[in-house]
Amino acid sequence: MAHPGMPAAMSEPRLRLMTLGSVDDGKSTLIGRLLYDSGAVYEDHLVEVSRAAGKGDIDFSFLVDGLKAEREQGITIDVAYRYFATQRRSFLIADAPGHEQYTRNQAAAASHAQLGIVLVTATDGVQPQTRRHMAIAALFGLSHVVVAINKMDLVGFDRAAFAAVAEDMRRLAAGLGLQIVATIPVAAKAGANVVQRGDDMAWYEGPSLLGCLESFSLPAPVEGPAILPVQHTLRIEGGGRISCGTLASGQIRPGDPLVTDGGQRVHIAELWSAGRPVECAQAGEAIAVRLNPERDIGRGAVLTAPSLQAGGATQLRVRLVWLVDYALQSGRTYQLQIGTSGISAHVSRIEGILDLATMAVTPSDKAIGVNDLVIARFSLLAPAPALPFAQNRALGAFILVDRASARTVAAGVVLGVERRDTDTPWQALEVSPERRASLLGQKPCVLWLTGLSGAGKSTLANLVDRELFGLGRPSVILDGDNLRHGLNADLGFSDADRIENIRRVAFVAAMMADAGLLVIVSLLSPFEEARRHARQVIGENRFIEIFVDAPLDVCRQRDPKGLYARADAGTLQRFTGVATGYEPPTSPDLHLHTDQIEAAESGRLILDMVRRRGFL
Amino acid sequence: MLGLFLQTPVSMPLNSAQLSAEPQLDAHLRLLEAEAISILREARAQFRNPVILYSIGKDSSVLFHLARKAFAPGTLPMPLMHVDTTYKFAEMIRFRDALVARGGVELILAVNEAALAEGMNPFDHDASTYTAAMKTVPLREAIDRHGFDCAIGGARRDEERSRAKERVFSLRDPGHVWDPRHQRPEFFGLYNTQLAIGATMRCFPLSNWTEMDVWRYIHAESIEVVPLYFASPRRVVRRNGQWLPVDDARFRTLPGETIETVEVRFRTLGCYPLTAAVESSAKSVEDIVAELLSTRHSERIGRIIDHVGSSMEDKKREGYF
Repeated sequence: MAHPGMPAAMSEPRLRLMTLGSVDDGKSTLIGRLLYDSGAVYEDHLVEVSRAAGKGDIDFSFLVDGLKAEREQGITIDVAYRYFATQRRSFLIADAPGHEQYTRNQAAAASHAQLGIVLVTATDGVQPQTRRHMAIAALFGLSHVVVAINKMDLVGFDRAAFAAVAEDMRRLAAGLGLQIVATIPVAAKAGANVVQRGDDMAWYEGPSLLGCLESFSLPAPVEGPAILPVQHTLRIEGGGRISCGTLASGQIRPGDPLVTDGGQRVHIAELWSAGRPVECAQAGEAIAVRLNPERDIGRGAVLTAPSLQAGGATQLRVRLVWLVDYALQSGRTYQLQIGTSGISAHVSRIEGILDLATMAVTPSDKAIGVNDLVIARFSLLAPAPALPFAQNRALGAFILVDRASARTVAAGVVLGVERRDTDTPWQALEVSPERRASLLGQKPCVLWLTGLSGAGKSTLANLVDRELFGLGRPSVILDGDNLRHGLNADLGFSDADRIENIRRVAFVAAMMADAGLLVIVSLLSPFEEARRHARQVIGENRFIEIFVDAPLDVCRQRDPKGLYARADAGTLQRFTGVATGYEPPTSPDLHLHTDQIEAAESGRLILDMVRRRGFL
Repeated sequence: MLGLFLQTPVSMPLNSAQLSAEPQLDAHLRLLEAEAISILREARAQFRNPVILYSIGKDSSVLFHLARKAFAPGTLPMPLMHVDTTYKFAEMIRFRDALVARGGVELILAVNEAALAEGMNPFDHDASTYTAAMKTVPLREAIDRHGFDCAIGGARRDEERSRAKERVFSLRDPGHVWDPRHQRPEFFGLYNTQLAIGATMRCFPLSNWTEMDVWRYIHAESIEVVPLYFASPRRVVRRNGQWLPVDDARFRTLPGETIETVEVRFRTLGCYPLTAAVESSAKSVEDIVAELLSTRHSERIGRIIDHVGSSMEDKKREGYF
């Protein structure tokens, strides 16, 4: 709105700032000073601050430290967001905490910031926290910083003291790939060189901190190919689907060709931005598109310019910050949120921990703990869209969620991507699985028998296999124990190895089914997530999950292989049911209580279902 | 009463012709709008049963407008809910009912009838007891009763110090407790929307908007707001240095107080006995923007009572929005 008296700056996007620096270097005071001296503090807030601080004094940090606990402890424990505007520019400032235990908030602030204000003191110089904060900010996408060297009053406004710290900072920033916009001597308490120039430092000829923030120019955005991560699908009354999302790169117009991450070619039939029909939309706009032909693409899909392949990622190499107080474990599966998709990701390898002093990655035997920066590899349980962070932020940044606790356990950026189809091309097979199946005159499926040791999986597998053989149906048993003598001989019983065991069996079962066989898998397979993955690998319409269920004490009593006895005696480690948990299927296709019915009856129930589903 | 409402000069409601008009937004407002729409879509896509908390004020009007844009050309895929204390300004209730009468919205009312029956009111009880009984408790109960897993509100970070630390998606533990020391960090605009059993989410699409942004957006998009925001001669009483509105016969004057007619407007709207007016001659959205520009540097001391201690933080911990 053009209003007389409205600063022109108000119509330009806010410059997003963050603060970096050690806890005692006076960040909150500096920001409070910046807000106060630029006139952004309302009188009633000021009265309150003066009252809290005692007579006559203003404690500027009080303007920023919002929560009770912080004021009581005199520290900033969370990220606070402040808004202020001058005649020349408007700002959003994220004040991130200095203590090491809040490193994660530093990383969060950096992921949004365009310019950092690094605070060091002339008295103490570069601190371990200074280095840590700058490294984290650089890793999470920050590129430019202003250095404020504070507490100049405590070194008698000495130019040499300033120059020494400035030189240390210059070297540090250069090593991290951060660009220093300006280095400014400051006395935040008295306000020298924050907004007004200080009288005591005539030797300094550069701008004040605020002057520097006002004149900083952002690097021009790079023009890229169109990328639209689909966030939500609208179903319009009377039919029709419209895909919504925020355009992550490039620009689009009605008529433009796009490809889905599954490789389907489409055109934009209609385009809306913020609810209005438009002829063109730019990166950053919240848009909606109607596609021609209409495709059933939902949340998590990505539409891109035909020149770009973003879909089909199966392996990611990443850099992450670990956020919680329990350890990151290789072999565990987490929910990966990247772009708009949420997929299961298996931590296949931890390459090492990033040493912030040397920026070297060192393989480490120590458990990965809170605030550690880690280089790791994920294998995705289903192909998903992803790009390196350096290429696109929206498809290159992620968070990791632990489904069990619902907590955000890590955040990071993608360094490298391996894709299913391009990096290892598929060899075309001339005889299709359908033709093989019809040669055998049957419809293949995989009967996946899961349950505790002793529940009766092997007994039932053999029983069903004999019946099928008798009917002249080609079938095969994949028995977990037998496979561990060969294909899976290299695997132990850690969670990671069990997941790998299930993964291999799933792929073998899928191949056997492709060959036209009726496949009976007899595998303890204790993890719900891994079984879900097996279902995906094998295919929803030919996967039948059968829960072979008997209470633990019944299994223990049966103990056909003497394994429970050994586990109880301590000579068998990590035995499911004794030492580790079994996750029962939440909705199996068939649930057999083998302690309540005879084996023959169970076998009949399985065959009945196979018939009912049309596989026999 | 309805006649009075129709005569009051207000801007026109959003209609399809305006939705099709060329955008009049500057780069700054466009960015805020895109961000808010993206957050609203995220709330719809990731939750089973989201609800928009509609308080009738200017921020709610903006939020409602944005929600319709977020899902256009479809219809609004979630209901509105108003926590009605029954002590709102009469003009607010008329505005709300007119909005519902125009159709296309489902409005749910949450009222603490039990507390009203026991005589709860803002005159005999202090502000925090009254607020807990008439706002916090019915909000918590309504969220539980309707099974809402995400309540979307128009709160902004620039409103208050403890709100400055709110997340865009802010977790509430079972019992609706806000634990500011264990908030989920938010990276890159990616939101962890998973809930443990019994937990719920609050969502704030206007987190990064300021009061000025809200008014400039209202102007650019011709969004209708309650006329109480515009200066007009109104019946008020001077108390503790503030102008308290005499909105209906339930108001109680204290000995020595006289009802005067003064040209005032309201900067925020809530329950009328707890909402002080400011002297103003701003009769249009343009006037309000101009007033805010000059207010930025001037002395404004009228809302001290809202800012004593950290009352907002305590209220939020108990489940206040």
